[in-house]
Amino acid sequence: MLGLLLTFFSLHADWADQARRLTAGANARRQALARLRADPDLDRALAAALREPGAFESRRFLALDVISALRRREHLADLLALSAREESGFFYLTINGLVEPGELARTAALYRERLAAADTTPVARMILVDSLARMSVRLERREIERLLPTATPEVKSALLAYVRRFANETRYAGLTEALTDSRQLREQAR
Amino acid sequence: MRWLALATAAALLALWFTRPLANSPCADTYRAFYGDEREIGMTIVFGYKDARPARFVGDRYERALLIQELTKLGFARVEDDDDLLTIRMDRGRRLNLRIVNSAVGPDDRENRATPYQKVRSAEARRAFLDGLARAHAVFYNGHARVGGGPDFAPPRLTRNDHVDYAWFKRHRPGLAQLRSVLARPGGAKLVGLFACDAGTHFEDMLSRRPAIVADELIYFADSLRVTLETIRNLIAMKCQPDFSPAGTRVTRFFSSEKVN
Repeated sequence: MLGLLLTFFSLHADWADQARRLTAGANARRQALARLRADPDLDRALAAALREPGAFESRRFLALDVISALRRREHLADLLALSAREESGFFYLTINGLVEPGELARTAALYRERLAAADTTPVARMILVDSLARMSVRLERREIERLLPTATPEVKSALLAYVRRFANETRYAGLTEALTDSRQLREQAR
Repeated sequence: MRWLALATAAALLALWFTRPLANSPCADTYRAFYGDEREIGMTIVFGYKDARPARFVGDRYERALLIQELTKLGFARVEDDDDLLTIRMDRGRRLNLRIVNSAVGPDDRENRATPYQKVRSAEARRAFLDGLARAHAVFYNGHARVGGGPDFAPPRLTRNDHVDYAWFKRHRPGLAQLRSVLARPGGAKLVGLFACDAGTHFEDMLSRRPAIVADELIYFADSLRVTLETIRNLIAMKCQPDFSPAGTRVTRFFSSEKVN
């Protein structure tokens, strides 16, 4: 009886409770994924959660986890639009996992626009630089230089990793010096 | 005009967070915690937050996100030391908050192949142990590794790229490092462990120090919220009923509290 009750309640648990179990071990993850897939209301709930405000609002991040885990590409357009204003930049990590090879060029162009936009937050910039590096996109030198005056140490660190990844590109010559104005950045460049 | 409004808002916000609580009913706790010192040290170390068997590692982004929120509260960066943030407190005190992370990049496979990862891991480990030995408070925000943490390096993996939890459970490498520092007198007056089931996994350590721990699985965003709330509560000298952020337990910090 108790088992039946537990099953009943776990089947009707909030999607976010299931999302939290995605990192709780292989069996828990399998069960959570099955229950999330069976939830007829899931996409509506995810779309609402993506819009929840608050820097550390866990439901917004859990929604990203679920979209990634179930590869729900139907949320891609929403993610691309909302990511322009979302401050954590974590939306881009989910977008990276959803984009198909044929969409890479368009996505990279959008990322470059967002990287240059004045209202893009430092964390989002950092994630965009890392993402463009993983896409093997070569930024113009001036795109990097424009970021320098307002770059936080974290953005500089991401740019430094980017420049070092493509160290054989002559267009980036001398940029390392401009990026290493702290003990930690000098250590990274060593 | 816009910058003036923003500057005023930031100043008011900073004042609110650092306002003195002279009549605080837990004044003894904070007298013992801060003493007469003007320079207050706190350390937050993000462990190596891999998502194995996936290759993603998140601590670099999580640290940056926390710093982004702290700067909104009035914390300022320090020239030539990217890990240090400061804020003025009441009574002429200044809080020096060191925030260090463990991973050099977001990809575990690449991190393992980068010599700089070893340097970064060593720096994070050193920051945590130094914090334990010297800071007023130190916080670990990372994986518990079923009691094998704190962990600042790419974890030992099984053949199918899962974390080798059996090995961590058997050897408990993180705890061995902690024990030697915690056995010495003095050191951090509050230890925060924001890792899954930290209360259970590190219970033997908790018997020695005032601590704030997570008692169950803790999601990364909750862990960041808890870290930020704890820093704010310590600055605002919040008392026990208002102190514990949701999902955590404070032991032996408040002077009126009975030792278990």
